[in-house]
Amino acid sequence: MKDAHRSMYGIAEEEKESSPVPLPHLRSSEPGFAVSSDDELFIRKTLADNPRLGVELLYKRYYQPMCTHAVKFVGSREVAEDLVSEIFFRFYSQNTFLDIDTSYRRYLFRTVRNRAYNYLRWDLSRKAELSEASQKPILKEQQPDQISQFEELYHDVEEAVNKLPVERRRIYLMRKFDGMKYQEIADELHLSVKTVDVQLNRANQFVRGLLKEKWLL
Amino acid sequence: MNAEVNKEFIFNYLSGKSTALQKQLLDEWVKNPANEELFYQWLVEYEYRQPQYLADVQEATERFFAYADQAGEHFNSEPLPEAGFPVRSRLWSWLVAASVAILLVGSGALFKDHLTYQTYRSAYGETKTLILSDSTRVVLNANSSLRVPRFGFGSETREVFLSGEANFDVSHQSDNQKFIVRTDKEFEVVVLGTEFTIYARAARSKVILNKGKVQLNYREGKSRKQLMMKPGDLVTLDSSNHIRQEVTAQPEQYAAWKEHRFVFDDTTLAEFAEIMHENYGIRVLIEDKNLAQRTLVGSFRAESPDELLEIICRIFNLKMVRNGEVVKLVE
Repeated sequence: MKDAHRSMYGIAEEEKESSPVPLPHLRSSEPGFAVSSDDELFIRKTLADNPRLGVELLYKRYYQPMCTHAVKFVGSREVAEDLVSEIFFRFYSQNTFLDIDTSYRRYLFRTVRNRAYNYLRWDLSRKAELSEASQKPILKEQQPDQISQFEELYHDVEEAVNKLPVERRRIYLMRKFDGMKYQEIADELHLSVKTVDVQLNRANQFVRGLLKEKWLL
Repeated sequence: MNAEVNKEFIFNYLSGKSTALQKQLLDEWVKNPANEELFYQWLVEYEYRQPQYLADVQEATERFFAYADQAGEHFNSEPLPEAGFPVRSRLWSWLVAASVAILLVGSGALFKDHLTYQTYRSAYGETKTLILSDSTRVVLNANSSLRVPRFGFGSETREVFLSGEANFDVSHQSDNQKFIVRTDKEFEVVVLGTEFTIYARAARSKVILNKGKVQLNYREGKSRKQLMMKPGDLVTLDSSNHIRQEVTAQPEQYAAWKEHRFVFDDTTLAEFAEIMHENYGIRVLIEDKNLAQRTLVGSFRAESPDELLEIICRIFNLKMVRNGEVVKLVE
């Protein structure tokens, strides 16, 4: 288990040193982040020889930052982790990696941002009132024209959640982020399930209300 | 528009501190493919530094491959349908129950550690030279490891964690920032621009100072103690952190292993056996108690453990009985 972990961050870790030569990637200003554009070279080679291992290396390297990025859009860690795993599954099962001539990082993060963006928009539309929904066309997957729209969207989500009254926000995050059941939240906060339900409805309405106007055009 | 898009600019942008004008600048900047690559590189770095939460990567990886391997037989035969939302229901949920048992094995602590530290290890019989980001030079002796924090190293503190043996040549910083070497032996060394060797193995620990000045913080019994060291000082701590201080005329000989030299100074063969085990993973058995207490003096150059063993045998006129990684020395 440890050995697999060790391979996660850099090329130099993979190569046995026979003579005492400084590890090249250590010269960058932060330990662990190579500035070289070739930092995926080892993974690229591994993918060619042994796709399963290559995907595992990529997974271990980018799963954490992809999840923590996606969760800013979708709010739920479960959904975020599913989105990321699905992306990797397609990447692996359909040999997508063979067609990527930029960095894998760029591909994976562009994909996760698009998926998260579209998920959030789908999520907003899905929960629209019935009468509203019937008037709106079904959302198609789309990609924003500008990169800054991504950040703008999840910053708006963040802001909307932050505007919730403290107690309501707590309940909202327990449900949405941690995926806790109503009963579990009620037990932990010594509230009735009914109160939890009411608070969650108000929180959802509030957050959706703030986001819909700008993002569901 | 002549603002420069650099890492700080991107970090500000990612944390929501950019103005509309700056966003527009970024949208233009990122159209250049090289810049786009940089953007994603910094994005990854930002997400590592400011995680929303820590995912359990080990568990997720196992779950992922459990699924992928099982689905593997369908690979390439039928293309997957274009995934629409929702995602939850299909692929992953059934695996949750199945993998709970594995997940509980507790990779959590390990993983967290892994995320925060870069670990350098040397194998048996291998030395490794590292240059840290503050230009401190570290030579790891065999079977040793050094953990360096991924974030913040050099910005506020310089702290590393050593197990095993290493020689440090610490760079001096203009702000006189301390460099601290922690060990799991309840002692640590605090330094200012200096060169020294630390030995923190199972049986005992040693600190040998070549140049400069270091402060040794250690715990003996329940009390915390401090000791200042001068060049040439050799401090030995036994397994209960009892300290012994002496002066050595040749502090550099304690880092002789850097040049594949082995310096013995009234070292018993029993101690020699221990060194062979720590450095090369070779068990040297000396059953004859009198033989084990005989001492070695001198400096030897040897490229490999075999060569060293041969030299020792020649000196004492011993025979080597080898059985894999176990070597028995007999008269």
